[in-house]
Amino acid sequence: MFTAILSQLFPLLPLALAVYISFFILRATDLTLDGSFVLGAAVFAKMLELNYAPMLAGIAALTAGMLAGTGVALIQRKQKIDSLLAGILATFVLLSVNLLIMGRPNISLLAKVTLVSTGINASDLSVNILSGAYSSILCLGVCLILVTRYGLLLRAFGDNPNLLHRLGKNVETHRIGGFALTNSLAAASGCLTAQTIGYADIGMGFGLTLTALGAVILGQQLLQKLSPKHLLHGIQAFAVCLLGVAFYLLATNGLLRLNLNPIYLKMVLGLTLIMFLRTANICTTKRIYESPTT
Amino acid sequence: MNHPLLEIKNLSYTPQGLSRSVLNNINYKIYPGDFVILLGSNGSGKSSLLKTIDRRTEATTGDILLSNKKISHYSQKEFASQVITLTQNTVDSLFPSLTVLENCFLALERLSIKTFLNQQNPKQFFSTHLKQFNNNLAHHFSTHVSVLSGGEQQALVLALSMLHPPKLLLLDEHVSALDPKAAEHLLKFTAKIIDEHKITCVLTTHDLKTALRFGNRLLALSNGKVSREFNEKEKKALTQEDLLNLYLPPQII
Repeated sequence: MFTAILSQLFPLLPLALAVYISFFILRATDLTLDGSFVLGAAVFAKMLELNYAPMLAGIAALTAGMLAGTGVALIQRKQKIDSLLAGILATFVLLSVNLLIMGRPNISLLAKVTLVSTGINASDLSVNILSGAYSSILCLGVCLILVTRYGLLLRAFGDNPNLLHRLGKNVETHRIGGFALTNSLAAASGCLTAQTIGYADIGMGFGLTLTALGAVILGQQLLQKLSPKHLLHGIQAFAVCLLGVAFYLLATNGLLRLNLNPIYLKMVLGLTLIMFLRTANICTTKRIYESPTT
Repeated sequence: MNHPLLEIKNLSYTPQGLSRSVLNNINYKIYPGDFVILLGSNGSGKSSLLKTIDRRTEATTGDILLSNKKISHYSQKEFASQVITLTQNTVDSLFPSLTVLENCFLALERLSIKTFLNQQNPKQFFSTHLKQFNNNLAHHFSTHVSVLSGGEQQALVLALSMLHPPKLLLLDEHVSALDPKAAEHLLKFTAKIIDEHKITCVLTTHDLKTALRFGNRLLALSNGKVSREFNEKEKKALTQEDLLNLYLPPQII
Protein backbone atom coordinates (compact mmCIF):
# COMPACT_ATOMS: atom_id res chain seq x y z
CA MET A 1 0.00 0.00 0.00
CA PHE A 2 2.88 2.30 0.81
CA THR A 3 4.31 2.23 -2.73
CA ALA A 4 0.82 2.66 -4.14
CA ILE A 5 0.40 5.84 -2.11
CA LEU A 6 3.87 7.04 -3.02
CA SER A 7 3.27 6.53 -6.72
CA GLN A 8 0.12 8.67 -6.53
CA LEU A 9 1.41 11.25 -4.07
CA PHE A 10 4.11 12.91 -6.11
CA PRO A 11 2.22 13.30 -9.39
CA LEU A 12 -0.67 14.90 -7.50
CA LEU A 13 1.45 17.29 -5.44
CA PRO A 14 1.76 20.03 -8.11
CA LEU A 15 -2.01 19.94 -8.64
CA ALA A 16 -2.58 20.35 -4.90
CA LEU A 17 -0.23 23.32 -4.87
CA ALA A 18 -2.05 24.77 -7.88
CA VAL A 19 -5.35 24.44 -6.03
CA TYR A 20 -3.83 25.95 -2.87
CA ILE A 21 -2.56 28.96 -4.79
CA SER A 22 -5.71 29.53 -6.77
CA PHE A 23 -8.14 29.12 -3.86
CA PHE A 24 -6.19 30.61 -0.96
CA ILE A 25 -3.87 33.09 -2.60
CA LEU A 26 -5.60 34.25 -5.77
CA ARG A 27 -9.00 33.59 -4.14
CA ALA A 28 -10.42 32.33 -7.40
CA THR A 29 -12.52 29.24 -7.93
CA ASP A 30 -10.54 27.98 -10.88
CA LEU A 31 -12.01 24.77 -12.28
CA THR A 32 -9.82 25.08 -15.39
CA LEU A 33 -7.24 23.07 -13.47
CA ASP A 34 -9.20 19.93 -14.41
CA GLY A 35 -8.75 20.75 -18.08
CA SER A 36 -5.14 21.86 -17.74
CA PHE A 37 -4.32 18.60 -15.98
CA VAL A 38 -5.48 16.66 -19.04
CA LEU A 39 -3.89 19.21 -21.35
CA GLY A 40 -0.48 18.56 -19.79
CA ALA A 41 -0.90 14.82 -20.20
CA ALA A 42 -2.23 15.19 -23.75
CA VAL A 43 0.56 17.43 -24.98
CA PHE A 44 3.20 15.24 -23.38
CA ALA A 45 1.78 11.99 -24.78
CA LYS A 46 1.26 13.37 -28.26
CA MET A 47 4.79 14.73 -28.45
CA LEU A 48 6.27 11.44 -27.31
CA GLU A 49 4.18 9.74 -29.96
CA LEU A 50 5.70 12.10 -32.51
CA ASN A 51 9.12 11.03 -31.18
CA TYR A 52 10.17 14.26 -29.52
CA ALA A 53 12.56 14.08 -26.58
CA PRO A 54 10.74 13.56 -23.23
CA MET A 55 12.32 16.67 -21.71
CA LEU A 56 11.09 18.79 -24.59
CA ALA A 57 7.64 17.24 -24.30
CA GLY A 58 7.60 18.04 -20.60
CA ILE A 59 8.48 21.67 -21.22
CA ALA A 60 5.80 21.85 -23.92
CA ALA A 61 3.25 20.46 -21.46
CA LEU A 62 4.10 23.16 -18.91
CA THR A 63 3.90 25.84 -21.59
CA ALA A 64 0.51 24.56 -22.71
CA GLY A 65 -0.71 24.83 -19.13
CA MET A 66 0.60 28.38 -18.95
CA LEU A 67 -1.27 29.27 -22.13
CA ALA A 68 -4.48 27.76 -20.77
CA GLY A 69 -4.03 29.84 -17.60
CA THR A 70 -3.45 32.97 -19.62
CA GLY A 71 -6.61 32.19 -21.57
CA VAL A 72 -8.78 31.78 -18.50
CA ALA A 73 -7.34 34.98 -17.01
CA LEU A 74 -8.19 36.84 -20.21
CA ILE A 75 -11.75 35.53 -20.11
CA GLN A 76 -12.13 37.12 -16.66
CA ARG A 77 -10.44 40.36 -17.65
CA LYS A 78 -11.84 43.44 -15.85
CA GLN A 79 -14.04 41.13 -13.75
CA LYS A 80 -16.47 40.86 -16.64
CA ILE A 81 -16.94 37.12 -16.10
CA ASP A 82 -16.76 35.47 -12.69
CA SER A 83 -13.78 33.15 -12.13
CA LEU A 84 -16.03 30.16 -11.51
CA LEU A 85 -17.89 30.65 -14.77
CA ALA A 86 -14.68 31.41 -16.67
CA GLY A 87 -13.21 28.16 -15.36
CA ILE A 88 -16.21 26.14 -16.46
CA LEU A 89 -16.14 27.75 -19.90
CA ALA A 90 -12.41 27.18 -20.27
CA THR A 91 -12.73 23.52 -19.23
CA PHE A 92 -15.49 23.19 -21.80
CA VAL A 93 -13.22 24.55 -24.52
CA LEU A 94 -10.24 22.51 -23.31
CA LEU A 95 -12.24 19.28 -23.70
CA SER A 96 -12.23 19.85 -27.47
CA VAL A 97 -8.67 21.14 -27.50
CA ASN A 98 -7.43 18.08 -25.64
CA LEU A 99 -9.22 15.73 -28.06
CA LEU A 100 -7.79 17.67 -30.99
CA ILE A 101 -4.27 17.35 -29.59
CA MET A 102 -4.51 13.66 -28.80
CA GLY A 103 -6.52 12.74 -31.89
CA ARG A 104 -8.21 9.95 -29.93
CA PRO A 105 -9.47 9.50 -26.36
CA ASN A 106 -6.29 7.88 -25.04
CA ILE A 107 -2.62 7.39 -25.83
CA SER A 108 -0.52 4.67 -24.25
CA LEU A 109 2.96 5.56 -23.03
CA LEU A 110 3.94 2.10 -21.82
CA ALA A 111 6.32 1.42 -24.70
CA LYS A 112 7.86 4.90 -24.60
CA VAL A 113 10.88 6.28 -22.83
CA THR A 114 9.51 8.95 -20.50
CA LEU A 115 10.97 11.33 -17.98
CA VAL A 116 10.44 8.87 -15.15
CA SER A 117 11.53 5.68 -16.87
CA THR A 118 15.25 5.21 -16.84
CA GLY A 119 14.96 3.67 -20.26
CA ILE A 120 16.55 0.34 -19.47
CA ASN A 121 14.92 -1.07 -16.44
CA ALA A 122 12.00 0.92 -15.07
CA SER A 123 11.27 -0.45 -11.64
CA ASP A 124 8.51 0.95 -9.44
CA LEU A 125 11.06 2.40 -7.11
CA SER A 126 13.01 4.32 -9.73
CA VAL A 127 9.77 5.67 -11.21
CA ASN A 128 8.74 6.91 -7.77
CA ILE A 129 12.09 8.43 -7.03
CA LEU A 130 12.21 10.26 -10.34
CA SER A 131 8.63 11.51 -10.26
CA GLY A 132 9.20 12.52 -6.66
CA ALA A 133 12.27 14.49 -7.65
CA TYR A 134 10.56 16.32 -10.51
CA SER A 135 7.48 17.10 -8.50
CA SER A 136 9.37 18.25 -5.39
CA ILE A 137 11.77 20.45 -7.33
CA LEU A 138 8.89 22.07 -9.19
CA CYS A 139 6.76 22.59 -6.08
CA LEU A 140 9.61 23.90 -3.96
CA GLY A 141 10.56 26.27 -6.76
CA VAL A 142 7.03 27.65 -6.85
CA CYS A 143 6.96 27.90 -3.05
CA LEU A 144 10.13 29.96 -3.26
CA ILE A 145 8.35 32.34 -5.64
CA LEU A 146 5.63 32.73 -3.02
CA VAL A 147 8.02 34.25 -0.49
CA THR A 148 9.41 36.81 -2.94
CA ARG A 149 8.06 40.26 -3.70
CA TYR A 150 6.16 38.75 -6.63
CA GLY A 151 4.51 36.27 -4.29
CA LEU A 152 3.47 39.12 -2.03
CA LEU A 153 1.95 40.93 -5.01
CA LEU A 154 0.02 37.78 -5.95
CA ARG A 155 -1.38 37.58 -2.43
CA ALA A 156 -2.23 41.27 -2.57
CA PHE A 157 -4.02 40.64 -5.86
CA GLY A 158 -6.12 37.91 -4.27
CA ASP A 159 -6.85 39.95 -1.17
CA ASN A 160 -7.77 43.33 -2.62
CA PRO A 161 -7.38 43.75 -6.40
CA ASN A 162 -8.94 47.21 -6.32
CA LEU A 163 -6.32 48.51 -3.95
CA LEU A 164 -3.56 46.89 -6.00
CA HIS A 165 -4.84 48.85 -8.97
CA ARG A 166 -4.88 52.03 -6.92
CA LEU A 167 -1.25 51.46 -6.00
CA GLY A 168 -0.46 51.78 -9.68
CA LYS A 169 -0.02 48.09 -10.41
CA ASN A 170 -1.43 46.37 -13.45
CA VAL A 171 -4.01 43.99 -12.00
CA GLU A 172 -4.44 42.05 -15.22
CA THR A 173 -0.78 41.06 -15.51
CA HIS A 174 -0.92 39.69 -11.99
CA ARG A 175 -4.11 37.83 -12.82
CA ILE A 176 -2.46 36.31 -15.89
CA GLY A 177 0.74 35.54 -13.98
CA GLY A 178 -1.16 33.82 -11.19
CA PHE A 179 -3.38 31.75 -13.41
CA ALA A 180 -0.51 30.80 -15.74
CA LEU A 181 1.41 29.60 -12.68
CA THR A 182 -1.41 27.46 -11.30
CA ASN A 183 -2.40 26.00 -14.64
CA SER A 184 1.14 25.06 -15.56
CA LEU A 185 1.41 23.30 -12.19
CA ALA A 186 -1.78 21.40 -13.04
CA ALA A 187 -0.34 20.51 -16.44
CA ALA A 188 2.84 19.27 -14.75
CA SER A 189 0.67 17.11 -12.55
CA GLY A 190 -1.14 15.65 -15.56
CA CYS A 191 2.14 15.06 -17.32
CA LEU A 192 3.63 13.19 -14.35
CA THR A 193 0.44 11.21 -13.79
CA ALA A 194 0.35 10.07 -17.41
CA GLN A 195 3.92 8.83 -17.05
CA THR A 196 3.37 6.93 -13.83
CA ILE A 197 0.13 5.25 -14.93
CA GLY A 198 1.40 4.72 -18.47
CA TYR A 199 -1.24 6.50 -20.54
CA ALA A 200 -2.98 9.81 -21.15
CA ASP A 201 -6.76 9.72 -21.13
CA ILE A 202 -9.25 12.43 -22.04
CA GLY A 203 -11.28 11.82 -18.84
CA MET A 204 -8.37 11.57 -16.40
CA GLY A 205 -8.90 15.06 -14.93
CA PHE A 206 -12.56 14.73 -14.08
CA GLY A 207 -13.30 16.09 -10.59
CA LEU A 208 -9.64 16.31 -9.69
CA THR A 209 -9.70 20.00 -8.76
CA LEU A 210 -12.38 19.40 -6.17
CA THR A 211 -10.60 16.31 -4.89
CA ALA A 212 -7.40 18.30 -4.56
CA LEU A 213 -9.28 21.10 -2.82
CA GLY A 214 -10.56 18.56 -0.32
CA ALA A 215 -7.03 17.32 0.22
CA VAL A 216 -5.67 20.84 0.65
CA ILE A 217 -8.33 21.75 3.21
CA LEU A 218 -7.56 18.54 5.10
CA GLY A 219 -3.89 19.45 4.96
CA GLN A 220 -4.60 22.88 6.34
CA GLN A 221 -6.50 21.45 9.28
CA LEU A 222 -3.80 18.90 9.97
CA LEU A 223 -1.07 21.50 9.85
CA GLN A 224 -2.96 23.73 12.23
CA LYS A 225 -3.20 20.84 14.70
CA LEU A 226 0.44 19.86 14.29
CA SER A 227 1.99 23.30 14.29
CA PRO A 228 -0.28 26.14 15.31
CA LYS A 229 2.60 28.57 14.92
CA HIS A 230 2.61 30.69 11.83
CA LEU A 231 5.03 29.31 9.26
CA LEU A 232 6.69 31.16 6.46
CA HIS A 233 4.24 31.35 3.61
CA GLY A 234 6.08 29.19 1.06
CA ILE A 235 6.88 26.45 3.58
CA GLN A 236 3.32 26.46 4.80
CA ALA A 237 1.95 26.00 1.26
CA PHE A 238 4.26 23.06 0.66
CA ALA A 239 3.52 21.44 4.00
CA VAL A 240 -0.23 21.84 3.59
CA CYS A 241 -0.20 20.22 0.15
CA LEU A 242 2.08 17.36 1.14
CA LEU A 243 0.14 16.56 4.31
CA GLY A 244 -3.23 16.93 2.59
CA VAL A 245 -2.49 14.72 -0.40
CA ALA A 246 -0.76 12.10 1.75
CA PHE A 247 -3.69 11.95 4.14
CA TYR A 248 -6.21 11.85 1.32
CA LEU A 249 -4.42 8.97 -0.42
CA LEU A 250 -4.02 7.14 2.86
CA ALA A 251 -7.77 7.42 3.41
CA THR A 252 -8.78 6.30 -0.11
CA ASN A 253 -6.33 3.44 -0.24
CA GLY A 254 -7.30 2.43 3.27
CA LEU A 255 -10.98 2.43 2.41
CA LEU A 256 -10.37 0.33 -0.69
CA ARG A 257 -8.36 -2.11 1.41
CA LEU A 258 -11.35 -2.46 3.72
CA ASN A 259 -13.17 -3.80 0.66
CA LEU A 260 -15.35 -0.76 0.30
CA ASN A 261 -17.12 -0.83 -3.04
CA PRO A 262 -15.34 1.86 -5.10
CA ILE A 263 -18.76 3.21 -6.10
CA TYR A 264 -19.15 4.59 -2.56
CA LEU A 265 -15.65 5.98 -2.35
CA LYS A 266 -16.25 9.58 -3.40
CA MET A 267 -19.48 9.73 -1.43
CA VAL A 268 -17.85 8.56 1.78
CA LEU A 269 -14.95 10.95 1.29
CA GLY A 270 -17.26 13.82 0.41
CA LEU A 271 -19.37 13.27 3.52
CA THR A 272 -16.26 12.98 5.69
CA LEU A 273 -14.98 16.21 4.25
CA ILE A 274 -18.26 18.00 4.92
CA MET A 275 -18.21 16.84 8.54
CA PHE A 276 -14.60 17.85 8.85
CA LEU A 277 -15.33 21.33 7.52
CA ARG A 278 -18.42 21.81 9.67
CA THR A 279 -16.54 21.03 12.86
CA ALA A 280 -13.43 22.94 11.86
CA ASN A 281 -15.63 25.94 11.03
CA ILE A 282 -13.36 27.48 8.44
CA CYS A 283 -14.56 29.71 5.72
CA THR A 284 -12.06 30.55 3.05
CA THR A 285 -13.09 34.02 2.03
CA LYS A 286 -15.40 35.50 4.65
CA ARG A 287 -13.26 34.83 7.67
CA ILE A 288 -11.00 37.76 7.00
CA TYR A 289 -13.78 40.29 7.42
CA GLU A 290 -14.91 38.99 10.79
CA SER A 291 -13.70 40.78 13.82
CA PRO A 292 -12.54 38.57 16.67
CA THR A 293 -15.43 37.94 19.03
CA THR A 294 -13.38 36.98 22.05
CA MET B 1 -1.11 84.43 -7.22
CA ASN B 2 0.29 80.94 -7.60
CA HIS B 3 -1.21 78.24 -9.79
CA PRO B 4 -3.96 76.05 -8.43
CA LEU B 5 -3.00 72.49 -7.53
CA LEU B 6 -6.43 71.26 -8.48
CA GLU B 7 -8.84 72.92 -10.83
CA ILE B 8 -12.39 71.66 -11.30
CA LYS B 9 -14.03 72.95 -14.44
CA ASN B 10 -17.75 72.65 -15.26
CA LEU B 11 -17.84 69.23 -13.65
CA SER B 12 -21.04 67.21 -13.93
CA TYR B 13 -21.66 63.60 -13.16
CA THR B 14 -24.76 61.56 -13.90
CA PRO B 15 -24.51 57.89 -12.97
CA GLN B 16 -25.78 55.44 -15.55
CA GLY B 17 -29.46 54.75 -15.16
CA LEU B 18 -30.11 57.80 -13.00
CA SER B 19 -32.08 60.68 -14.45
CA ARG B 20 -30.82 63.42 -12.12
CA SER B 21 -27.18 64.41 -11.95
CA VAL B 22 -25.27 63.81 -8.74
CA LEU B 23 -22.82 66.61 -9.51
CA ASN B 24 -23.99 69.63 -11.42
CA ASN B 25 -21.66 72.09 -13.09
CA ILE B 26 -19.09 72.45 -10.33
CA ASN B 27 -16.27 74.97 -10.68
CA TYR B 28 -13.63 75.28 -7.98
CA LYS B 29 -9.90 75.85 -7.55
CA ILE B 30 -7.75 74.45 -4.79
CA TYR B 31 -4.34 76.05 -4.18
CA PRO B 32 -1.25 74.44 -2.68
CA GLY B 33 -1.52 74.37 1.09
CA ASP B 34 -5.29 74.74 1.15
CA PHE B 35 -7.32 72.76 3.64
CA VAL B 36 -10.81 72.74 2.17
CA ILE B 37 -13.80 71.61 4.20
CA LEU B 38 -16.47 70.08 2.01
CA LEU B 39 -19.77 70.40 3.80
CA GLY B 40 -23.10 68.96 2.81
CA SER B 41 -25.89 66.65 3.90
CA ASN B 42 -26.20 63.03 2.85
CA GLY B 43 -26.62 62.75 -0.88
CA SER B 44 -25.35 66.26 -1.54
CA GLY B 45 -22.56 64.90 -3.72
CA LYS B 46 -19.57 65.26 -1.36
CA SER B 47 -18.36 61.72 -1.75
CA SER B 48 -19.09 61.68 -5.47
CA LEU B 49 -16.98 64.78 -5.91
CA LEU B 50 -14.05 63.20 -4.08
CA LYS B 51 -14.45 59.98 -6.04
CA THR B 52 -14.34 61.91 -9.29
CA ILE B 53 -11.23 63.80 -8.20
CA ASP B 54 -9.65 60.49 -7.23
CA ARG B 55 -10.59 58.86 -10.59
CA ARG B 56 -12.75 56.24 -8.94
CA THR B 57 -15.68 57.51 -11.00
CA GLU B 58 -15.49 59.26 -14.31
CA ALA B 59 -17.14 62.64 -14.81
CA THR B 60 -19.88 62.84 -17.43
CA THR B 61 -18.77 66.29 -18.58
CA GLY B 62 -16.16 68.78 -17.47
CA ASP B 63 -12.50 68.51 -16.55
CA ILE B 64 -10.35 68.13 -13.48
CA LEU B 65 -6.78 69.37 -13.71
CA LEU B 66 -4.05 68.37 -11.28
CA SER B 67 -1.01 70.66 -11.57
CA ASN B 68 -2.43 71.91 -14.88
CA LYS B 69 -2.70 68.44 -16.37
CA LYS B 70 -5.94 66.50 -16.84
CA ILE B 71 -6.19 63.76 -14.24
CA SER B 72 -7.10 61.25 -16.94
CA HIS B 73 -3.72 61.90 -18.57
CA TYR B 74 -1.75 60.63 -15.57
CA SER B 75 -0.64 57.02 -15.43
CA GLN B 76 -2.09 55.15 -12.47
CA LYS B 77 1.37 55.00 -10.87
CA GLU B 78 2.00 58.74 -11.23
CA PHE B 79 -1.47 59.50 -9.95
CA ALA B 80 -1.17 57.11 -7.01
CA SER B 81 1.95 58.85 -5.75
CA GLN B 82 0.22 62.26 -5.77
CA VAL B 83 -3.36 61.73 -4.67
CA ILE B 84 -4.50 59.58 -1.78
CA THR B 85 -8.01 59.11 -0.40
CA LEU B 86 -8.83 57.93 3.08
CA THR B 87 -12.37 56.72 3.62
CA GLN B 88 -14.18 55.37 6.66
CA ASN B 89 -13.89 51.92 5.13
CA THR B 90 -10.30 50.79 5.74
CA VAL B 91 -10.75 47.92 3.26
CA ASP B 92 -10.41 50.64 0.61
CA SER B 93 -6.84 51.28 1.72
CA LEU B 94 -5.52 48.08 3.30
CA PHE B 95 -5.02 44.42 2.44
CA PRO B 96 -7.05 42.92 5.29
CA SER B 97 -5.75 39.36 5.26
CA LEU B 98 -2.11 40.35 4.98
CA THR B 99 0.04 41.34 7.93
CA VAL B 100 0.98 44.85 9.01
CA LEU B 101 4.52 44.42 7.69
CA GLU B 102 3.28 43.10 4.33
CA ASN B 103 0.97 46.07 4.06
CA CYS B 104 3.95 48.34 4.70
CA PHE B 105 5.91 46.74 1.88
CA LEU B 106 2.95 46.96 -0.48
CA ALA B 107 2.42 50.62 0.34
CA LEU B 108 5.89 51.22 -1.06
CA GLU B 109 4.77 49.86 -4.42
CA ARG B 110 3.12 53.21 -4.88
CA LEU B 111 6.57 54.77 -5.05
CA SER B 112 9.64 53.89 -7.00
CA ILE B 113 11.27 50.87 -5.45
CA LYS B 114 14.60 52.71 -5.16
CA THR B 115 13.42 54.74 -2.21
CA PHE B 116 12.96 51.50 -0.37
CA LEU B 117 16.24 49.92 -1.43
CA ASN B 118 18.07 52.82 0.15
CA GLN B 119 16.77 51.76 3.52
CA GLN B 120 19.33 49.58 5.27
CA ASN B 121 16.88 47.88 7.53
CA PRO B 122 13.29 48.16 6.30
CA LYS B 123 11.79 46.69 9.46
CA GLN B 124 13.55 49.24 11.64
CA PHE B 125 12.48 52.01 9.28
CA PHE B 126 8.83 50.92 9.33
CA SER B 127 8.93 50.52 13.08
CA THR B 128 10.08 54.08 13.74
CA HIS B 129 7.63 55.38 11.15
CA LEU B 130 4.63 53.52 12.58
CA LYS B 131 5.48 54.56 16.14
CA GLN B 132 4.77 58.17 15.24
CA PHE B 133 1.21 57.20 14.45
CA ASN B 134 0.35 54.48 16.91
CA ASN B 135 2.58 52.82 19.45
CA ASN B 136 0.84 49.47 19.17
CA LEU B 137 1.34 49.05 15.44
CA ALA B 138 5.09 48.56 15.56
CA HIS B 139 4.64 45.63 17.94
CA HIS B 140 2.17 43.94 15.62
CA PHE B 141 4.21 43.50 12.47
CA SER B 142 3.08 39.93 11.94
CA THR B 143 -0.55 40.52 12.93
CA HIS B 144 -3.16 40.32 10.23
CA VAL B 145 -4.63 43.73 9.59
CA SER B 146 -8.21 42.45 9.86
CA VAL B 147 -7.78 41.73 13.57
CA LEU B 148 -6.57 45.23 14.45
CA SER B 149 -9.10 47.60 15.99
CA GLY B 150 -10.79 50.20 13.83
CA GLY B 151 -8.67 52.97 15.32
CA GLU B 152 -5.46 51.04 14.75
CA GLN B 153 -6.47 50.30 11.16
CA GLN B 154 -7.13 53.97 10.45
CA ALA B 155 -3.84 54.94 12.09
CA LEU B 156 -2.11 52.38 9.87
CA VAL B 157 -3.81 53.75 6.76
CA LEU B 158 -2.66 57.24 7.67
CA ALA B 159 0.86 56.03 8.46
CA LEU B 160 1.13 54.19 5.15
CA SER B 161 -0.07 57.16 3.15
CA MET B 162 2.57 59.30 4.88
CA LEU B 163 5.46 57.03 3.90
CA HIS B 164 5.63 59.48 1.06
CA PRO B 165 3.27 62.41 1.68
CA PRO B 166 0.95 62.94 -1.30
CA LYS B 167 0.38 66.31 -2.93
CA LEU B 168 -3.34 66.04 -2.40
CA LEU B 169 -5.01 64.20 0.46
CA LEU B 170 -8.73 63.51 0.23
CA LEU B 171 -10.41 62.65 3.52
CA ASP B 172 -13.85 61.19 2.98
CA GLU B 173 -15.22 61.12 6.53
CA HIS B 174 -12.36 58.81 7.44
CA VAL B 175 -13.06 58.97 11.17
CA SER B 176 -16.81 58.53 11.13
CA ALA B 177 -16.73 54.78 11.83
CA LEU B 178 -14.75 55.29 15.05
CA ASP B 179 -15.98 55.99 18.57
CA PRO B 180 -16.07 59.72 19.46
CA LYS B 181 -12.83 59.67 21.45
CA ALA B 182 -10.83 57.77 18.84
CA ALA B 183 -12.36 59.88 16.09
CA GLU B 184 -11.39 63.10 17.84
CA HIS B 185 -7.86 61.84 18.44
CA LEU B 186 -7.36 60.72 14.85
CA LEU B 187 -8.84 63.89 13.41
CA LYS B 188 -6.54 66.08 15.50
CA PHE B 189 -3.62 63.92 14.59
CA THR B 190 -4.47 64.03 10.88
CA ALA B 191 -4.67 67.82 11.04
CA LYS B 192 -1.27 67.93 12.72
CA ILE B 193 0.29 65.71 10.04
CA ILE B 194 -1.26 67.79 7.27
CA ASP B 195 0.14 70.91 8.85
CA GLU B 196 3.61 69.41 9.35
CA HIS B 197 3.95 68.19 5.79
CA LYS B 198 2.12 71.15 4.24
CA ILE B 199 -0.24 68.82 2.41
CA THR B 200 -3.14 70.18 0.42
CA CYS B 201 -6.24 68.54 1.74
CA VAL B 202 -9.98 68.21 1.23
CA LEU B 203 -12.05 66.96 4.15
CA THR B 204 -15.71 66.03 3.81
CA THR B 205 -17.88 66.19 6.86
CA HIS B 206 -21.41 66.80 7.98
CA ASP B 207 -20.30 67.64 11.46
CA LEU B 208 -20.57 71.40 11.94
CA LYS B 209 -18.03 71.58 14.78
CA THR B 210 -15.43 69.82 12.65
CA ALA B 211 -16.21 72.15 9.79
CA LEU B 212 -15.56 75.18 12.01
CA ARG B 213 -12.45 73.89 13.76
CA PHE B 214 -10.43 72.75 10.75
CA GLY B 215 -9.53 74.09 7.38
CA ASN B 216 -8.99 77.47 5.83
CA ARG B 217 -11.72 77.36 3.20
CA LEU B 218 -15.19 75.92 3.05
CA LEU B 219 -17.28 74.64 0.19
CA ALA B 220 -20.91 73.79 0.78
CA LEU B 221 -22.69 71.43 -1.59
CA SER B 222 -26.35 70.77 -1.88
CA ASN B 223 -28.09 68.67 -4.48
CA GLY B 224 -24.87 68.34 -6.43
CA LYS B 225 -24.35 72.08 -6.79
CA VAL B 226 -22.07 74.49 -5.00
CA SER B 227 -24.45 76.27 -2.65
CA ARG B 228 -21.92 78.51 -0.84
CA GLU B 229 -18.19 79.20 -0.86
CA PHE B 230 -16.23 80.80 1.95
CA ASN B 231 -12.66 82.04 1.79
CA GLU B 232 -10.29 82.09 4.74
CA LYS B 233 -11.51 85.36 6.16
CA GLU B 234 -15.18 84.54 5.74
CA LYS B 235 -14.71 81.07 7.18
CA LYS B 236 -13.15 82.46 10.35
CA ALA B 237 -16.19 84.62 10.93
CA LEU B 238 -18.63 81.74 10.54
CA THR B 239 -20.67 80.48 13.44
CA GLN B 240 -22.39 77.18 13.92
CA GLU B 241 -25.72 78.84 13.25
CA ASP B 242 -24.56 80.15 9.88
CA LEU B 243 -23.64 76.64 8.91
CA LEU B 244 -26.90 75.21 10.13
CA ASN B 245 -28.69 77.59 7.81
CA LEU B 246 -26.80 76.06 4.91
CA TYR B 247 -28.52 72.80 5.68
CA LEU B 248 -32.04 74.17 5.36
CA PRO B 249 -33.83 72.80 2.35
CA PRO B 250 -33.17 75.33 -0.44
CA GLN B 251 -36.73 75.62 -1.60
CA ILE B 252 -39.65 73.30 -1.69
CA ILE B 253 -41.61 73.71 -4.85
